Amino acid sequence: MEEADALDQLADLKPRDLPQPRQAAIALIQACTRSNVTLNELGALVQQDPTLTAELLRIVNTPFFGLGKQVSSIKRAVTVLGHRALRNLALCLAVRDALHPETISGHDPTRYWEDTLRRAIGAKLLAGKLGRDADECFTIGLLQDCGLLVMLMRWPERVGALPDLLKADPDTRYALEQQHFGTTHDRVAAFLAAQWGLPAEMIEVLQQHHQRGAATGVDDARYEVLYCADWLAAVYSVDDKTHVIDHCRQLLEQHFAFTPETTDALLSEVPHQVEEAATALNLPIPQQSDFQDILREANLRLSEENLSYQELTWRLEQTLRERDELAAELNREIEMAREIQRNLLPPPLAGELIVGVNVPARDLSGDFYDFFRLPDGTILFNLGDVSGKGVNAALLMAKTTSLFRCLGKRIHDPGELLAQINAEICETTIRGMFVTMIAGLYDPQSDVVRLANAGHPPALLFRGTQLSQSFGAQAPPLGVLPDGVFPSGEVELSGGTLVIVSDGITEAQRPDGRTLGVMGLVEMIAASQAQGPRERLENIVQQLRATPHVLHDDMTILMLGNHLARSGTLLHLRVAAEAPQLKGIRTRLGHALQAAGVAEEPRQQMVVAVNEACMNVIQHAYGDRHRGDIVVELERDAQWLIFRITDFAPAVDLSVLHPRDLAEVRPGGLGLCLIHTIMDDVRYPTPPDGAGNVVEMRKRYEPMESEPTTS
Amino acid sequence: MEYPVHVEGPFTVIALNGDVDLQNSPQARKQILQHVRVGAHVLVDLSAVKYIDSSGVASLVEGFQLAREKGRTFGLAGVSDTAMQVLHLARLDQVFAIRPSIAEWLREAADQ
Repeated sequence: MEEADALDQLADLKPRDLPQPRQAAIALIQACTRSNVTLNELGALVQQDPTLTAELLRIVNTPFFGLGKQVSSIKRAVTVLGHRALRNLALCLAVRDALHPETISGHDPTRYWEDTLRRAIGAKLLAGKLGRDADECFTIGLLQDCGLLVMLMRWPERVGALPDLLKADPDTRYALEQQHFGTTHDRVAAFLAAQWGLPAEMIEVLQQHHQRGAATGVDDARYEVLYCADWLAAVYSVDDKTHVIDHCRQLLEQHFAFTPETTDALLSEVPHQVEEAATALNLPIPQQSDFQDILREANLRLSEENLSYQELTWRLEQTLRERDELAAELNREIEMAREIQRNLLPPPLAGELIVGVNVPARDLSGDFYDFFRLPDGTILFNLGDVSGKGVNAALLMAKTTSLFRCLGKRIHDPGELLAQINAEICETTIRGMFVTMIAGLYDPQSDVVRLANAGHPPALLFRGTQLSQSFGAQAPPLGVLPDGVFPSGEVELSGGTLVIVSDGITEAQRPDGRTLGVMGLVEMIAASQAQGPRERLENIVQQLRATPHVLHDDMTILMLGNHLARSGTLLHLRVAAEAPQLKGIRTRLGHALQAAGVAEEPRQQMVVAVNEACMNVIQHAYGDRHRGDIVVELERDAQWLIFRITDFAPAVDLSVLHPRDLAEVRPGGLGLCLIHTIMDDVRYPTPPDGAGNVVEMRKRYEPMESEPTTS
Repeated sequence: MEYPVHVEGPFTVIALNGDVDLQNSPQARKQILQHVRVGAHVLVDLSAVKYIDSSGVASLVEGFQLAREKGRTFGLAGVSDTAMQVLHLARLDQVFAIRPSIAEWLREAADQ
């Protein structure tokens, strides 16, 4: 519809606005078409127009249209040419004279003519190769682009579309014409040819060469020739030459069974012939590029594309490498963060009244626990769980645990402490993040805990293997309500064990797929009764993490109670009571004390005292007359380190054992003096059956800052 | 095992080492008393001592007492922290003449 409209609009171009060839030329063309016309008549027609006569004589003597011999009269020319060739020549001149591309602004006439000539030459070469009328195809080829020119005359405002048309390959160009003008050059050219009164069969070829020429096996080969000629010309005009050259080779193979070499040979003839035709027709065109140059350019473009592919690969590799480097850097940073986080966990506390284990699900933990002794010997502790995981949770964890440590030095009531931490967190924390936490103050002397629970799963009190009581949350998590109140209450452990876990423990999956739950945890705690406290916790977490194919949460567990420490025999040593054994006893005792977290100076002093006690056994209890063993034991409870030295010698008269007066400088009695100076308490309990003498020395735990057990 | 002994200036220096405990102190005592007895000014170098127990300290006390009777010098040098701790516990750090090193003893002797 649109197309019909567009063509109709051509009709309002006045005949004088349309390209008009010389009347004589038109008359000559029409005469040539008549079958009964005589050569004399044709000669007379030409000679009526002196300009036409001169031009014809000039043109028949050019190498391009040339007849191979000098022709000096119209009569002779008409005879040699015959009426068909004469018609073609006349038409060429008519087209040349009628079209004035230079009148269309924004249109380079030299480019118009070279493009037109390339189509015409392409058609001529193809037709010649196929044994068809080459001159006629040349002429029709020349006429094709009249269509474009007419469209530009009719719609000069659309001249902006021209550069894209000229750069496009024929099929694209055809579609673009339709898009910009609502019609196409072939139809418009046919319209013009009809206006000029050109022969109907010529008009038909002009009008249909795109539609019918694209198909193979058309009854009239001229359609295909003209269509393919468009593609040949395009090799010299489009940007993407590689694609068009390839397409030409395929096209000519499909249509005419040409080999690529034939096509290339044909193509390489185009520039030279275009130049010759331009000279013959006296048309201005720029110098033509060689086909070899075109090929080189195409290959260069191709290799540039290859190059950019290589470059792309290189860039990709580079990017991957950068990504790996950044990832490694990030890993290093996370590893550092993890290290810092580990250091935020407290070192073991001397006496192991309280032990904790934290195993993050990923690199960083949102769980935490902390504990430290206050100057009065009580222990402030907490266990918390930050909502979410990863770096943000880890940062909030660091903040919360720092607040706990800092504020905890001044505020000892767990409820009040939680309220203060809550206020701080509410002030600055990202909305939506919160912390559940249990805080407590443990007095090992009375075995009583003051406990506050902010939104955390219940703390569990065990008596033996039984779960005795649980203490759930009485306040929301920290970071939710700025004015939250956090009540605290007293829990009497009375020899029991308080266990606090993060939900990563109770929600852990067992190998059978069931969730552990509180009861599962109770079972595990009961089953691990025989182990030391730390070993116990580590085993529980290890078992839970062993479940395969399960995403584990952070797992944190804290256990406290007086009896944890009471159960601890730190050293039990039985050796021959002889001087050479003393060094070994000192070494073993030193290690046991170090493992219990006793600081260096008191440790050395305790070793001195025990060494003196052992010396007394060797020197005085056994003396020179007896031989036997000595047993050295180290135990601890909540308050004391207990050193017990047992021998199997005859009982010693206790009344002779008294320390020396320090003011008196003499060698004897120095050992007992050292023992009494170093130890807080020295007793001589009744020896068990079979033993000779027992000395039990006690040293109170200093409320000292703990130190790591590893050395 | 004999502890090395050498003469430096006016002093006879006995260099104890290792653990001077019940196992080794009789040897230390024997050598110390032997030199004090013949009238030497005796210095005991404790810089290589890792541990000293009351029997080792007793040997030093005996040497100190005998030297005082004879009007001879009896001094200690290079007392390690561990040894000093024991001397301090027994309040003997205020009894013995103690200098940081043998060199310090020599310098003082030269000044007089």
